[in-house]
Amino acid sequence: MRHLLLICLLSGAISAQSGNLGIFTNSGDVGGPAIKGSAEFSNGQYRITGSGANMFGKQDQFHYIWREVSGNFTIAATMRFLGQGADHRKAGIMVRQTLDTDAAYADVVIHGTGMPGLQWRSKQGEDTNVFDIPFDGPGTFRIQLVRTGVRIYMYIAKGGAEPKEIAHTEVSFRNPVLVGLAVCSHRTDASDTVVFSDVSVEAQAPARADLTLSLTGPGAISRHVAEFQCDEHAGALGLPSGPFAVEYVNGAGNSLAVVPVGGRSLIFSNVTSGSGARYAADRYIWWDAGSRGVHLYSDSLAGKAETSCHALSAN
Amino acid sequence: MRELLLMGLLAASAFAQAGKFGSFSNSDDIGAPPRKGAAEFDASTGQYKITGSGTDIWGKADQFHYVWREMSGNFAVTATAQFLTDGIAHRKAVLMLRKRLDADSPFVHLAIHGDGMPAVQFRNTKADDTNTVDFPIEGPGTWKLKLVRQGTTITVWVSKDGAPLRELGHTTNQLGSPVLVGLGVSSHTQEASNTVLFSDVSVEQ
Repeated sequence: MRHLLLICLLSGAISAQSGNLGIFTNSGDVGGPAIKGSAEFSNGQYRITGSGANMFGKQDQFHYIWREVSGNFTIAATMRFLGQGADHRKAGIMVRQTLDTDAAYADVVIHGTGMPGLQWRSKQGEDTNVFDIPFDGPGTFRIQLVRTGVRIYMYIAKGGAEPKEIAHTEVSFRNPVLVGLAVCSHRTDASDTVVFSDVSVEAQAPARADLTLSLTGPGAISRHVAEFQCDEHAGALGLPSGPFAVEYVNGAGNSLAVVPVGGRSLIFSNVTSGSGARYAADRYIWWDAGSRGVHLYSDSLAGKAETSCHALSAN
Repeated sequence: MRELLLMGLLAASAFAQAGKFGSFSNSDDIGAPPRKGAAEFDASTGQYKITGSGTDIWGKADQFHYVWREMSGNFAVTATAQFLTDGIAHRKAVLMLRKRLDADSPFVHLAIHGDGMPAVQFRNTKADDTNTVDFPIEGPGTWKLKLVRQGTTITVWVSKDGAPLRELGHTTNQLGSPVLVGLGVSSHTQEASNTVLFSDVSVEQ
């Protein structure tokens, strides 16, 4: 299943253009570089011109062409710099939470020298983290970024070789994210142009498996589905930011809740509770405390995350 | 894998053993794991046998056994690590630079996991989450680890089972000086300990 989300999030600070941008929906400068950038798509190639001090530290200046994606995906591109520029001019594939100049992001970039880097800002306003890879000079690179849950994988190849997995890091983005191509000249008084070709974005089809359980015990098996929506902390726990369905299964002394956590159907089982119905799975508790609300929480995630939810409907 | 610890609030009064650790000066548990760790240095072979328990070196705070010395400026550390005991796939043997002995101290380390996955991990500020760069798993074995600090640049190399050292890459880090440089072992569980043999250890200023 290929998810195509054509929703444009335009902040007032971004001078975005749309039109024929191939598989992307928008382009614009991020961080207000003095020299405006541009993006053109023709003959299957993206020609992106970007200026800006850097994509690093606590904030970024660059030109970006993007679309919105939720869940797991793979994005790949072949890229080369045109002309000369600063050693540390950068271009590559970026996943970004928002268009803010100090937004959380992760990217797989090639510097002007040919040095590949995996860079990420875990939270808005923080410093960028970096891991640079050994290299042997500039050229044409095939780069690929794969998001699987919180993991961001970097694949690189120089010349025509098949991209090789180099490493992965972990960044907790909320869904949806912006994914696209970025170009930064690493100086405010010039811009650089990069040609990207063979660009693809594939949202990974979630694997599906049907499960049949034979249960022995008194009473009939009952199943019902309820729809929920949670607050702004939903993403930190891996829940969808929009409405989602929870399936309840009761029978033979079991009480289960199937909740979509981290892009998978996680089966929670009822455990003893002082009030309401409390279900546990992995490191999560799904607690339907009736009039006191519904919560998903975890004591073992960073910050003891919790989100508060409400039922939209039941059927 | 992102597991938060029972916050082991380590008092600064660590029962540090001094003077018998070859290249290093002290040994102690960090983050107060329930099972105490230990370190033995064999001066005749130059080998360190380090036993450590603890939830992990990860998240906002750490539990492990550490053998260290204080250093400033630029330096290079090399050690060959071999797990002597079975355990959890993500048990870790590390070359570490650590700001303080507090469980939630900033640090950067080059780790080899029990399953043979190299990783560079770091906590930038006190009690912050740990960052990771995980490399493809090459399988268990005897791993040579090398870490060089030049200013704010930290470059790492690894090799498995006697192969030539291979540079993984470099990161930048603001730990500054002085810093506690050493070897660490965490079992990735409070229910067990793991022992790692470190040999061919060198610390060069």
